Amino acid sequence: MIKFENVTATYTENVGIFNLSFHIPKGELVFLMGPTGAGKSTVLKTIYRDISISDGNLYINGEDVGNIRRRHVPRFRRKIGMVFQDYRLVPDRTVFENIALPLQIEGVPKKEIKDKVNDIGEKVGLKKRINNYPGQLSGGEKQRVSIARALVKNPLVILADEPTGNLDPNVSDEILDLLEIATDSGTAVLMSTHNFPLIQPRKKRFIELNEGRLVTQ
Amino acid sequence: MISKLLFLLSESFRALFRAKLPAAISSITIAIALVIFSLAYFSYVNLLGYSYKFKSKYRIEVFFHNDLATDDARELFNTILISDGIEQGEFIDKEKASELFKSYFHEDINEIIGENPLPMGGRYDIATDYRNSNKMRRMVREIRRLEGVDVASFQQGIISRVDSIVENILGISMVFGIAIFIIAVILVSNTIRLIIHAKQETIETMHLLGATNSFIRFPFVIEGIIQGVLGAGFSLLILYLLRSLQSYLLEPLVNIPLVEPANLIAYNFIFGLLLALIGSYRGISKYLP
Repeated sequence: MIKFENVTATYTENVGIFNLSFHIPKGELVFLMGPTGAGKSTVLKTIYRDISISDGNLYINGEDVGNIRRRHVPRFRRKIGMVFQDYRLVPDRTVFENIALPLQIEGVPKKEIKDKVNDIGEKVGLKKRINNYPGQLSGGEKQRVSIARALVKNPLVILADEPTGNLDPNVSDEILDLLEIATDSGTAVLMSTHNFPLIQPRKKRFIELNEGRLVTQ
Repeated sequence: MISKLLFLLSESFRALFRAKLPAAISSITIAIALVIFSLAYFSYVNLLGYSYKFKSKYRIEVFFHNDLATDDARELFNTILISDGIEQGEFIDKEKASELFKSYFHEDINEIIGENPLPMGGRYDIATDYRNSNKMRRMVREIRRLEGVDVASFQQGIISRVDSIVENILGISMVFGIAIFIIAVILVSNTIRLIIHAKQETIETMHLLGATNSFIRFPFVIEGIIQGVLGAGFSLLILYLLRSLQSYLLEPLVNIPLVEPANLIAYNFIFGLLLALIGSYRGISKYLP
């Protein structure tokens, strides 16, 4: 599903990721580990084409990301679900409207949006909060909304950038459960974190980076 | 597609409602600009009407040599009549000249000096395109060159003065209008910039979720259109109030016949939309590349 072949992507000469190769198959949850500045976010940004690849090849479901034209990037991003540490919810929209946003961007009919959002809202445990605004939610609830927004479009891949960074351990565990559930439908999940104790009990594969280079996988 | 369009339209109204103050400032700016435009246009139409009426009285007067025979004088009159810039003319023979003298001075010239010394001549009305000081001066110069013409003249001082007043007023209105237009465009684009700035994080999130640039820009364009329409509405309301005030306060005192320009409502809406669209486009292309 996600295949890195000797990928190099840099911001400046010595900052970025270098000669990175790994593969994440369909339906697998993989953790991306490493200290701050190791290149975890750069890996994710490379996948959703926020930064360009300078060398090597990166494939998502067989599509060469480096060859995607600039104007086709929005369409490509619709296949990817994204979860951020700072949630990135739209503050003046309700939970329902935030979750519905990717479907509205795709132009899905209203009735279908309603059904899908209510369904996913129930799955992530937000049924009672569906008409609340982000300002009325706790950190854990906000992250659930963010995950629901990523899941609602049945993405090929979910990229989660430190999704538990602002949450306490119990809530973090619940968030990991939700991401694990996402893999049941065949979605590949790549989650960056530097919280080793959180992921250790999960017995999942992890990729470790340091200074933009692969340490272990 | 329809679902996307409906979503974007609802987004536009929603965004406008959320940014009430900047949107109101923008609409009021457009309204003020349109009121000034409309007043300038109103003054222009009336000034043009008055100046047209005044200029229709422009004429050239020609006096022939006194020793010219009547037939020769008629021929000379006709020669001038068919020259460029002459709309129509009236031949003045000695008898008519005497009548004119009587009408001006209430005296009979024949009785005063025992004969009629007044020369024959002609009065010529000027074609619309030639009713200005420069062209008339040129025409008079040509007429003076003709054999048998003693004097050819027009009221050069007044005509030059009227021409320069009309030109100055139109020039000042145009400069003023352009300045107002530029100020309104800058204010509208700054309002759009403020709204874009306030929504920067949302815009970034939308990009990450796969929204295209046109999807993000569309609501701003619709917002611009709504602001333009609201601005035109405000402007027409202000103009209606000004017209009512003028009828109530001035008409009983001074009766100046004023012409109300046709299509003022349509022009207000067209210019309102134009201002808003140029302002939005400037704001979007500058701050949402």
